[in-house]
Amino acid sequence: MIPMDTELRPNASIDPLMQERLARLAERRTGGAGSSSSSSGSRHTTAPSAQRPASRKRHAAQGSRTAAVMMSVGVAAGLTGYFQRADAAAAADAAAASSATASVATASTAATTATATQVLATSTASSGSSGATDTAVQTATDAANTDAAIASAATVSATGLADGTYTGATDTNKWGPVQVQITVSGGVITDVTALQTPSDDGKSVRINNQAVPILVSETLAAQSADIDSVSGATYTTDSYKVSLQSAIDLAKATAQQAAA
Amino acid sequence: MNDFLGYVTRSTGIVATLLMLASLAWGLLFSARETGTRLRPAWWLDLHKGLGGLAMVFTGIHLVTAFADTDLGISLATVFVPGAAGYESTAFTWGVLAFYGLAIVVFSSWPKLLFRTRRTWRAVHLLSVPATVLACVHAYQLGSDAGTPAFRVVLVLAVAAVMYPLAFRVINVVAKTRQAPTRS
Ligand code: HEM
Ligand code: HEM
Repeated sequence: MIPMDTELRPNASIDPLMQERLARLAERRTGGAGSSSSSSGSRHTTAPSAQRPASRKRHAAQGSRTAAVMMSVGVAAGLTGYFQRADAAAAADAAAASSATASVATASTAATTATATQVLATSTASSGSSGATDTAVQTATDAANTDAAIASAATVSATGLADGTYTGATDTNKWGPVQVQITVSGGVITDVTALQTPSDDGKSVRINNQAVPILVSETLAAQSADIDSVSGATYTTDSYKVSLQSAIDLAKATAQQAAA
Repeated sequence: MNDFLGYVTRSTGIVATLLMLASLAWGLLFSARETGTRLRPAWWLDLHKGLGGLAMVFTGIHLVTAFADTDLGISLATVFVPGAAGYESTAFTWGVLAFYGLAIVVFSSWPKLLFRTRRTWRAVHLLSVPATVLACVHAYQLGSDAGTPAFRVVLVLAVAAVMYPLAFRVINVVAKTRQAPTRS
């Protein structure tokens, strides 16, 4: 019987080992069809020097290299998908939490003014020791689970804002809670502090480190919650504006209260 | 879209770090080949180069997606100048330095042009060790997943796995220098 690849096996009388080697070389030169068992087996038995002319085109670790490429791409794609799913799940949780908070907020909006007045009474009584006032307000806020609280309040000016420090409502978005505190002095918003920003993951922290200073300077310039969104930090901007507006509302309510 | 880019940045960063560690391991094992073990040198070296090249590719994707993700507000300066980042400056700096180290290691080896002496080439190539360390530190500090147990376990295991080739190679060097006087 004549083998199909007669030309690759020149002479049947040649030493079979030599024949095998010739066949392998020929296979390599023609590029070889995939990693046939003969070529992968050969790497164990053949000295590297014998492979040199052929391995110029063909990598010694061709199969493993391909496997490494496929594994890397696969792992990267898998992780990307996993991160996406994990974040979507977290976002769903946060959304659920925030809608719950939102309903509480609507329900308690009417009560806010009342609570604020109470806090105002407490804080004026204890004015002087601001540390104690802060704690008192914090407790009041937590206990009542209300949206806003005042640390101290005094003069009312033409801007309609009473001087003092006001803590806005906590607004929770997809990434987490945002809460701001404003300081009004001479009827002007002189300082904004972000009490809470999303901090569950590194990316949020990085975004907020960048966005919050911009939002604050915008607020100080605009003297209202009517400010531009920081690109790339849309969620934070929106929540910031909600919290800021509630703090401003509180400063206004306090002014009206004092005027009455 | 930004969210997606962020996920790609994270996953390619992790893969690039693992590839650097693997390349390091394969390079060390290859270089310790004269120990008389039955390693197949050509295979180790070839895979080492493949892993090194892949690490470069994935780092490239990592940088491009990090830059393209406008949520992060990364400028070109952040990518190329150590210490230029407006926030998390140190963590970024490690990444930038690791990137330079990796690029130097890969491009000084790949087109075999730059170094004609083996000694200088090897000295430069050993930049790969600090570069990999910096990449790990960068990943640990900056990664969104750095806090998660899974990430820590993978990173620690990968680093631990490289300790074997490292020890292997160091012992090899020590053995060689002991032999040296008798040889010359
Ligand atoms: C794709 C580009 C690369 C090429 C062409 C390349 C090539 C080589 C070669 C030829 C050697 C053997 C040196 C010898 O013992 O004679 C080697 C060793 C080594 N390579 Fe690479 N390499 C590359 C990328 C990398 C990368 C990305 C890393 C690590 C992150 C790395 C780390 C090492 C280490 C640690 C050694 C051992 C050096 C020693 O112990 O003396 N290489 N590389
Ligand atoms: C110019 C240099 C680099 C820059 C600007 C950069 C930027 C970043 C950024 C922005 C992140 C955070 C991604 C996020 O959480 O959304 C990150 C994470 C990461 N980077 Fe880099 N990187 C650089 C170089 C490198 C290098 C050279 C490596 C390794 C080979 C690397 C590996 C990682 C890893 C593993 C993470 C963690 C991903 C995670 O788990 O969240 N980076 N990098």
